[in-house]
Amino acid sequence: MLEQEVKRGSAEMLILALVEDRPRHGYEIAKLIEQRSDGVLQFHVASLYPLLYRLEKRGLISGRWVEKAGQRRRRFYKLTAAGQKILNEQRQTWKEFFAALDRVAGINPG
Amino acid sequence: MPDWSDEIRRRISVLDLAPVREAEIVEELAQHAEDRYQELLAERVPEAEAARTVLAELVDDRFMRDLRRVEPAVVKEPKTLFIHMLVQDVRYGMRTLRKQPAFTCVVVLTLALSIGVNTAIFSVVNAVLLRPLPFPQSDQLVTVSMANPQLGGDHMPLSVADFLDWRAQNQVFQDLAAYTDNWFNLTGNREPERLKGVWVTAGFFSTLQAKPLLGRTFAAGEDAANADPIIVLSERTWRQSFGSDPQIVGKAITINGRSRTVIGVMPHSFNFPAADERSLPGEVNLWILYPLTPPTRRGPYYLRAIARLKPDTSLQQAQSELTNIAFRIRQDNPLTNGESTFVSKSLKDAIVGDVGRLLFVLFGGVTFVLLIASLNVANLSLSRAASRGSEIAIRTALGAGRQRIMRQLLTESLLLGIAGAIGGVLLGWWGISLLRTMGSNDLPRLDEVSIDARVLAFTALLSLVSGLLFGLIPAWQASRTGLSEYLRKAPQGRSGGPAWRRTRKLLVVAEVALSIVLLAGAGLMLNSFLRLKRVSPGFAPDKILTTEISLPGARYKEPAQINAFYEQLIDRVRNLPGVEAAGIGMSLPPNLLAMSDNFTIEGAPPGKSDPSSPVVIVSSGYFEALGIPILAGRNFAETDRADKPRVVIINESFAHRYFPNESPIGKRMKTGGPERPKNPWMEIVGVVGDVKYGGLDTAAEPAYYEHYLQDDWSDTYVVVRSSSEPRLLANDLRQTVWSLDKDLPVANVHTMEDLLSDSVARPRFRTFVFLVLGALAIVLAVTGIYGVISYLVSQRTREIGIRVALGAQRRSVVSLIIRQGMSLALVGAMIGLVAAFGLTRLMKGLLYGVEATDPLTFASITILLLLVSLAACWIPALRAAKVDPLVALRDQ
Repeated sequence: MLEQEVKRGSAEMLILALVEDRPRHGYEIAKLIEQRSDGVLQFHVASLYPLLYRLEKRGLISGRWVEKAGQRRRRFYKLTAAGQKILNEQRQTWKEFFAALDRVAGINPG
Repeated sequence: MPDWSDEIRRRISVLDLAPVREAEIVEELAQHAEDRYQELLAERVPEAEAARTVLAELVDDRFMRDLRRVEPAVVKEPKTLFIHMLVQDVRYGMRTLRKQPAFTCVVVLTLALSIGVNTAIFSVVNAVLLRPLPFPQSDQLVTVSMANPQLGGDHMPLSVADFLDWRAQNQVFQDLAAYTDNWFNLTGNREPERLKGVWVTAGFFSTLQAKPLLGRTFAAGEDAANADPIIVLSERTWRQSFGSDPQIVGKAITINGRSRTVIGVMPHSFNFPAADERSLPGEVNLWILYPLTPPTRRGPYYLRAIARLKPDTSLQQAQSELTNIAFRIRQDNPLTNGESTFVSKSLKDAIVGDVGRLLFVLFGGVTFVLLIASLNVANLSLSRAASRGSEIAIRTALGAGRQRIMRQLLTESLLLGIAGAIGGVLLGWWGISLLRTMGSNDLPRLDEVSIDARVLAFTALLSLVSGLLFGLIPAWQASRTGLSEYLRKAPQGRSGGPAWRRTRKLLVVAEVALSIVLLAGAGLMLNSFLRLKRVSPGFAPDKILTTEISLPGARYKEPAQINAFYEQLIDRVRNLPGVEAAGIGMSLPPNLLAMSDNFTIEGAPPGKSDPSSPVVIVSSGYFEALGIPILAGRNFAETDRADKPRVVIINESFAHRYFPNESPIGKRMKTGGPERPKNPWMEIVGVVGDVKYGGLDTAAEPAYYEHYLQDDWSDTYVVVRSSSEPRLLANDLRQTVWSLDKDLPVANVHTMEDLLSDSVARPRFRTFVFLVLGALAIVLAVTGIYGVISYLVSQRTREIGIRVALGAQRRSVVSLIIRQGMSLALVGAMIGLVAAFGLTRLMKGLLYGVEATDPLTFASITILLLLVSLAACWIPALRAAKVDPLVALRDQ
């Protein structure tokens, strides 16, 4: 139960973070999340894309169809300026949150 | 490789997104799915499992809810929304149907067959009954014929005297004409040809207001006795016999030995009078002006007449004038015109005749076929809809209203209906060409039958109706399924509950009932036809060869010339090897009657004369060759020549009617009726057996025979009885004729068996059509029964398993299933029989020798249907018997 809520709460940030350094497409994002979290966090189609679309609607990421030679076109998402701002805020929020948790419950996110 | 786009699109279509956005999402998700799939394959996951995994991860309820929150549904104008949804439904429907090719093919084929027969028959109804005749203002055209209530005839031909009197006294017709058809010999061209032609009076073409292709047609007054010999050709004759000669107009050609001038050519579209049962078969090749010499007596009677009403004159007014004219003629000629009067009928009615009844019955028949087919398809659709329960349940859960789902299912049904209609039009077109080749003697105006706009509209309507018919029931049933209700059911129950079962049973019962009605019709036609074929023609028809000879008037002017030719011909033919007997006659049984004429019996009080009775001029060998028995007196002899006392032979019916209590031998009669007192008396020297000249389905009528040497006639049939296969004599016969006259065409060499067969060509054709419909009905009904019984068996698998496990014999399982199936068939049969009882009365005029409610026929077809139904139940029953109780009980 907690996991679900935590996942949902952090999902936005995960995505914003992943497209921070370069544009990525949906499948890539899902795979990265799985790999970098060592399988703890998994996003399937059903959970990923509504999220992407919501972020896009809020203007935090922007999607673009890119066509490469010899391949089908793919939709790449990159971070917008507004998205960067939100990402920074959220990072800050989470840092403070975990610091508080640590102080109270003794977890070490380090 | 699975089609992710399809699957995704199908699932999110319910959200009604803007098309562009939807396409984008589908594309993106499909790529993700593909990438995931490849990833799993790379991990050596089996394909099927990989696909399942991907599908499971694809789209679920939460996705839809989340997406709904993000992506707005497109709010459109109600009009465009409707079109948008319609387009969606159509695309979705086509995809779903493509995925189930077996179902789609069976349904489309079933519909195509039933719509096809409907299209074919309706095209005929359209051309024959609905469309006006191809003449300007054709509703003004009428036929005029003679009726004599005493003799029971009402389409009897007129005589020249009748026509001239009518023409002189006419006030109500703006134009009138008379005609009669005949065979003509064309010589002096490439080779001697025998052509069908029509003698016409001058007003013929102007009455019909028919325009020629080339030249002109006959003008009023050109048919006087000393008329120029002029002639009009048909387009086909002009092209085929004269090589489309551009100088044809004004050219002289030789017809029957006389030179005639071609004044015009009629276009291919003009073919009046079209061949019917009272005319020579085939197309008209030429129209030849008939010089009307003033007659010296009332008879003989051989002319048919048409006329055009003056504008604003009704048929009733015309009829009353004709009745008055007839009355005046009767007053002037009491002895010959007895009770006869003139009758007129609209030309269209005359041409269409009683075909209207046949077409009506046929139309009913094909409607039944369509109903049965629709019921069959409804049954198939029900089982298909039942198996789509999961899809429908999910869609309902996702917010698709019941109406939406119904509309979707109905759209699929309509798509099937349209596909069936397209197939039906193609089949109908093929059916029409089949009808044209087979039914040319039976159906009038057959050359006008085509698939026109009205027929296409009719077909479209049919596909709509049938699509709704078989789509409505499953759609309604299916849309009632809710998701939770669906999930609650056991797997078996998922292909339908008790409501489904009841509906399907009802459908099958209805199918069987309709089939019985159709089969009853087919059975009655078949029975009637077989009886007709078994009718005795009055003589021995085997081993007889016949041919037609028509001596051209130019070279055979004198009776002596005609007699000499035939005498020699008969003599030479008789001496051919293999010939047992040979003769000539101007008419042939069963239906080739050339002429009727008046007669008077010596001593009979005036007024007891028949205006007309078949008279046949024959040689003595005629009776022998045909096998007509001589019942009293003697045959003609070669001594009965022109300079000897005149003799006549009568048939049995004549003797019974006019000499009921005495022997007719030695009595005297004369032809030409009482107005020809100078005609010689003829002594009755013999009585022969009856043969039919009016067709096998008529009663033999009184007829009398004259000897050819005493009364010449230039057109005859040669009749030859062979000791073996008659066809072998054909060549010898031709050579014999040509040995006497090399320019004489020898036409229509047929065996008598062929002629008998041709005479029943009409009923044969009708029976054939009915049998086709009956066969279709049986096939459809039986597949329907098979389908339902199989389905019911699958529903009861568990129960059967239990029974077997508890010790029931395989045999009792089989009988259980068969009882279930046969009870449906029996109920359907009983309902059908009751309906058939009422409906087959409509066929009364089409049947010969069989009651419309003939119990033997009804019993036979019922037994047939029940037997076939039994076979249809057998296979599922055997399958049921093989049910392994362990498997059945395990299957949850």
